[in-house]
Amino acid sequence: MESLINSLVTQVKSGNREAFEGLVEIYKDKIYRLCYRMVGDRHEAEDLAQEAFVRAFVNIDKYSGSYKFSTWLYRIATNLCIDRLRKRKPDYSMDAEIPGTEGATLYSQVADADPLPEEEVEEREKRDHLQQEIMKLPEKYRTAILLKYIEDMSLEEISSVMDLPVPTVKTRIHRGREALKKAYKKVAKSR
Amino acid sequence: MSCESEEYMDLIDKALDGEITAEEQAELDRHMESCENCREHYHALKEIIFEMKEASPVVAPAHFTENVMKMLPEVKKRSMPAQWIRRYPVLTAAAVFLILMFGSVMAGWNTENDFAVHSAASNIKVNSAAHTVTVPKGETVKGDLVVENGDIKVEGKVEGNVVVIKGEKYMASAGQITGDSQEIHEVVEWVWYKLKTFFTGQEQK
Repeated sequence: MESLINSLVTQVKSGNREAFEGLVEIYKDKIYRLCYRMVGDRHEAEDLAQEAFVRAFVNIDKYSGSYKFSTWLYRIATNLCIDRLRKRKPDYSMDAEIPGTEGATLYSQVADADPLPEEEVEEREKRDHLQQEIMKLPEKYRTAILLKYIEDMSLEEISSVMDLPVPTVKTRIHRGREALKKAYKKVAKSR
Repeated sequence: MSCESEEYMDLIDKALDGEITAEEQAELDRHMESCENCREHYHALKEIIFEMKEASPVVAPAHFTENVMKMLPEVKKRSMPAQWIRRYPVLTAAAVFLILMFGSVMAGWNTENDFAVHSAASNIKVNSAAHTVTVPKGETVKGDLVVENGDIKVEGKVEGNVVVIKGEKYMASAGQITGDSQEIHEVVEWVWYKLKTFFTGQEQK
């Protein structure tokens, strides 16, 4: 796999546009998922993931190969997401609780196109709930937690993606999961 | 988290990071049997991690790759000059320097139309109105003589080089120049002269 990726990268560097298609195919789900978990919105995630790939293509000459291509790509994507989150005005989020209601979000105000079977609804709610809790994490914890548990990366890899020393990454993961736990506990109590 | 011992919190973190030793695990297990707080903390964290790992598979929307490929900028064959600049930065810097140098000196050719004489000697006759310099008969001028935008008549003797820029040199039969004499009419000649004096510092004022 690594050798295939390296060969594709070399081809792109020498001007072969089609080779880039292979790289997008390999990483699109991972990058899209990361963006989605970072920003919590599918349209924005698509936008950001596309942007990440375009940037990778344009700057391919800057990729030196001293670390994995995926690490470089993840770095581009996380930086884009963090930029987006910082620029985001405190606007209305579909996930935000509507004031004066008990846990209702704007999603509940939008009619669903096709109704889902009962258990699927439950599953989806649970997952959406996880996403909501992730969205509440400060971005620095969020990035570390997502790379660790959703992307299943090693501390060393996360350290190169985030450009931070391993102990700092570790601390952020610890703090992040503490914060998630507290949030879950609160929900469990209110149920 | 009311368990007083920070130690067990560290052990729980280690356990979740997969860095705990068998001994430490045994110690933690023993502790959790009696401490409900730590037990609850450990299991809650474990559950969250499990949930994240089992989180619904998110996949990129349809036509994602197609769309990305459409968004890529056109064949980015970098133009030759750009590649050249990246490959030979020192040569580029040298070329830029020469161009700027040449340019500023050229500009000087067109704008400097003032009559000027550069000489250390005092025994020359300068006629500013007619733009002429005369080395009188019988006199000896020591050192180099540079005349800009004017003519020179050499009736006496010059012990040094004579340079006339945009002007004529008239030698009387008795005139004598011991050094080189040079008339500069062309831009290229002039630029060459300026560069030469710039680098050797020979221009005497």
